[in-house]
Amino acid sequence: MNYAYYPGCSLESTSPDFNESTKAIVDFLGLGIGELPDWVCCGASSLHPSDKLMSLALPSLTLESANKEQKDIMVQCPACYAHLREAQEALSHEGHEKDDLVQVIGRDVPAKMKIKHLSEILLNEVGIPALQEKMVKKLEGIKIASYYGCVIVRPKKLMKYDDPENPMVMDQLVSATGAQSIDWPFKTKCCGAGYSISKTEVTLDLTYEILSQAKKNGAEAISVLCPLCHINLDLRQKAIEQRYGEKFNLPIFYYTQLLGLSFGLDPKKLALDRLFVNPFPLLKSKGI
Amino acid sequence: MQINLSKDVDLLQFGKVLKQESETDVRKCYQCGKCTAGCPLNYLMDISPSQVIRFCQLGIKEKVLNSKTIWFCIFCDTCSTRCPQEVDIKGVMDGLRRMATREGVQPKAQVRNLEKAFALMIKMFGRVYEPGVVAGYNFMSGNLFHDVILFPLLLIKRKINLKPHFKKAGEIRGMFKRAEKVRKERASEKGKEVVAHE
Amino acid sequence: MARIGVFVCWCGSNIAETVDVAKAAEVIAKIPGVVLSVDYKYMCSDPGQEIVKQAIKEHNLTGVVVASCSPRMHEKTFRKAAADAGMNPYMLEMANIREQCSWVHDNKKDGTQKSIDLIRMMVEKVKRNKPLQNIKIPVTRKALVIGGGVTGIQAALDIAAGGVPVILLEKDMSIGGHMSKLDETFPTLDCSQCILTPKMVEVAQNPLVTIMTYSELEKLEGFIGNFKATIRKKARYVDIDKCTGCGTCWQKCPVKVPSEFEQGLGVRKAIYIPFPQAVPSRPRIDAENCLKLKEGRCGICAKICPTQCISYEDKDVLIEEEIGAIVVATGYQLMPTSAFGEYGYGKYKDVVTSLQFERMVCASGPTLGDFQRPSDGKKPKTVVFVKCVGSRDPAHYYSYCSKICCMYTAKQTMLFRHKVHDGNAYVFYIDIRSNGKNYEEFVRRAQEEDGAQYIRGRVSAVYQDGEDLVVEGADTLTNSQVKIRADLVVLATAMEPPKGIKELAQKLGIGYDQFGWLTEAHPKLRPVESATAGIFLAGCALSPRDIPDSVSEASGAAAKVLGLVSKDELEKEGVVAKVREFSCTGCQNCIRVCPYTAISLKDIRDRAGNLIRQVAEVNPGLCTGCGTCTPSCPSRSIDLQGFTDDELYAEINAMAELI
Repeated sequence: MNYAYYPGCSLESTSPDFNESTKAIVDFLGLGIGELPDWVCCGASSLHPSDKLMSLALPSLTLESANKEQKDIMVQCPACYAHLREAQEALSHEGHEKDDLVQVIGRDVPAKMKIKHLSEILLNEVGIPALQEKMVKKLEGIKIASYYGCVIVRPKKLMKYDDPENPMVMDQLVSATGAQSIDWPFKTKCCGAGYSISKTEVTLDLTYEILSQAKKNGAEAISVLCPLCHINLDLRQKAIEQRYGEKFNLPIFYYTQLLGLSFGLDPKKLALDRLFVNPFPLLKSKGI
Repeated sequence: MQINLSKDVDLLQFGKVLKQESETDVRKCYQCGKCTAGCPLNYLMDISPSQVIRFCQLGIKEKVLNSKTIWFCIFCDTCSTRCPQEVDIKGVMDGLRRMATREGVQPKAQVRNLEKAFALMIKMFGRVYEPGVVAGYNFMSGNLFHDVILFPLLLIKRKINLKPHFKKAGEIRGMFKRAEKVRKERASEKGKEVVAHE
Repeated sequence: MARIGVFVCWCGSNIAETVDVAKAAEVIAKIPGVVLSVDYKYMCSDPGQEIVKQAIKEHNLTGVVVASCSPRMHEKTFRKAAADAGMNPYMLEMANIREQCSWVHDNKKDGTQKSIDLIRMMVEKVKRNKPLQNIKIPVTRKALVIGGGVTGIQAALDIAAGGVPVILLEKDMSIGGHMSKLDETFPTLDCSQCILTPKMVEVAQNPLVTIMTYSELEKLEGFIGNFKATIRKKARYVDIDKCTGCGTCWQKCPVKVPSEFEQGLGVRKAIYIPFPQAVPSRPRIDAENCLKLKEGRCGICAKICPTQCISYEDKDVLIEEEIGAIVVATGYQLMPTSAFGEYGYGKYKDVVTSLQFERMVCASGPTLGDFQRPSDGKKPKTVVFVKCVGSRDPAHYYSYCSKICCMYTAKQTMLFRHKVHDGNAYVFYIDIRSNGKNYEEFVRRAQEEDGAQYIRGRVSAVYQDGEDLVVEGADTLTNSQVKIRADLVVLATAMEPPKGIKELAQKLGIGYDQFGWLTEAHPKLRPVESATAGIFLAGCALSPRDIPDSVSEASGAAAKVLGLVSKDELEKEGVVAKVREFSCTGCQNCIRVCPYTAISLKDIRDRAGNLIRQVAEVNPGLCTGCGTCTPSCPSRSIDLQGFTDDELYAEINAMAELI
């Protein structure tokens, strides 16, 4: 595997649980993926609407670092994924946009490397049988709703990730651990991450729909792959419960944490103690 | 509303500019409403997404640039993904925001403040310094105590870095300056005045 | 000695405005070999044709050039006139000085000079023209109709009415097609089977019609009037001549599988007939699900059959038929709900297609007309109809409109409201296309009298929430999002070409478009003919259309068939390729390039019967005169009569003023 890991700003600051559980399972599986040196912020969603050039220029610097290391990029944050891909598209097609971009960066950046989300790598390149071989503890008896959020699946032409209406990549990884990945209709409904700070009530409304629908379909926990979705579902769950007068008590796991549990890794190493909605009662009740 | 197509509108001009901004041709839209039907933020908008496209088709730009709608779009891409005619409604919203900024419309939208705070942090540190972003945003939007309760909670769970990382900040500042220069050049080519972001 | 007559037409002002016709005639008169050169206002008129005929007789003309419009317009007219005057019609050529001269230039000086050049070219060609004879080919007086739905049935009935024997070929085990699955039809609300089954019985009893069900076309050879069709009669495991249709076998069969006829909403046995009114009313054994054929056990049906007509050793049978003309009426299929991600990929039992809805309301359906929803049998109170699912959606599915959904959705709201008097019917639409006779009034009736609520907007998503289905739609007329909790959602999914149509079209040698709809010879003026001579098209095989149009086209195609086979011989233009055997080396280049497989190898033998060599031979019946073979021959041994190398070089040399 010739990948280097690009964590992105979120994983370094407000989502260290994602970062640590990722590193834990990557090390455990011996995939040989180290962190990419010299990476910068991808620009995320906030830069894009006001300064399109900068939103392409910033991730280009990261692409340049990867190119220097001669490595492909492994990402965990969907927003970083999207912006790296956009920068790669812009650099790959000759024209006005590329010329402007090169002018801003100050140099041309070769952008031929692969950019993949860890979930794709685990499913397609490592493979479920190889993962199951390493599993020591089956997470049987838990009903989990796999929630992807909107960024990783759309637009399909750019992300090339999975079906935008009913993706199954994470579902397959979750099922491989022995848990039951339930079928439910809001897998890719937007949680409102973009307005988490500036229009928080909107985020609460949208995230409420997701929690509510997951529970209605029998979910006991939710598995996510996006740090911002996680913040909305986990950190803000209490606020949502207060706003709507409903109790959810749904632990929100990163899929890497679930895989790590099935590998028998120490829950502290997987940062399970840093989740806001306490997962331990549920895990204990299922004998995990 | 009254529309005098012979006098009031700047049809062709607007469509062309929009096509450059969003790389999509709004003439393809046949107003089926599927975008409006699936938009999670429609309940807060004053004009619906399909209405935005309709006004763009007619070249009535004041209506769209002054709407709340373009600032409520959350860019979830549900609309563009399901549109039967491959109209990139999300791209149109994006382009309209940039046009609105350039023309000095709605500079006080809350979202703009967040963007400003975000950009400031990147310029200073090269990576996002979250406390700085939130503090900056709260200060600019005049709501100093927004989300302040979360701060101690995040500290307890060690989910916030009080120390910022510095990474290529100098180089990035240079890039921001160059980007502004390029934008100014492009805008003067189009014959429009540019409003600097910072 | 050549004696050419030249007639230059004014065509009113069409030619005369840009060409000085009198001058042209004057200049042409000076060419050696031209004995007569005149101009006239309207050559194609009766007096104009008379002039040509008179001139041929009076001046003993050996050839004629009519300088006027495109030969596609009047070559036939003038050649017939020449033939009437006793001249071989292939000695008459047309110089196109209208479409190729006066209509594309505006300078009279240039136009006149160019028309003189064009006429001179044709004069030199005609000097070298040889008289040709039309080719006569025999016609088999028998037709084949592929497709046993209402279109095929009608075509078969009309062909038989003309006294011509016809084979009605159907790949399913019964004729009737989709119309037999419908409850009531628009705009009359006739019971569909009640109006169809009399036709089915009529066609079954007609002595001139041979119905072959559960059979498909294996191969087609030959050409117009002389086809040879190989038909595969698939193994039924039941001898339908001995079988009486008593039903003992299917009553006792232990296997139950979802019924295709009931669109998956009901069950059938492994030995079954699809519906009670099936024609022929004879079962077949479904080998994929029969316990005896799959696992070697059971075998009850054969034991209890009173006429002993069941045999597990049945095999497919290939039969050959000589056919004169073919009608393709292969119909359509509907997209399934599983194709649509935003509506659940077929997971939700209560999201159904329009055809499934028909079976649900039909009195002979799986619930015998008691309107129940598939998941729990509850009577639906709120039904949402979603139009344009898969149609008008070039981004994901099909760009075209499926034409019938606006009408049948209005009908289905009425059928629903007639069954559930306090039910709510909502229709999400983008447009309402109701342009047939009494169609607009029908749709108004659905809304005004039967209370269907029409909401203008597409539906973004449908999902299950507890017992209800949530429909997320829009109303663009008030610019709102509209959410409805429904008991049942009916999707008007797109019509698409049936599976296997491209392979069938290739066997027949007919064209189809990017979707698989068969292509007509001309969309306006030749709507029931394919571009392949002798093969006609009707109904939804061409594109989505309703029953009245399909039935009309069936009759139209039948009329074409009867016209074709009514003659004992077909006459074809003599413009075909010919091989000069003495110089042909048998290299087969021409055979390889011929698009119509009209050329084959011929043995040249001595008197003792020994093979000396092989040469190419053209089948004038198949040859269309395209000329592809001519340049492919390295020894210039094959030439296209009517357009020989000699004649064409004369044109070129005349243009270059070398002669």
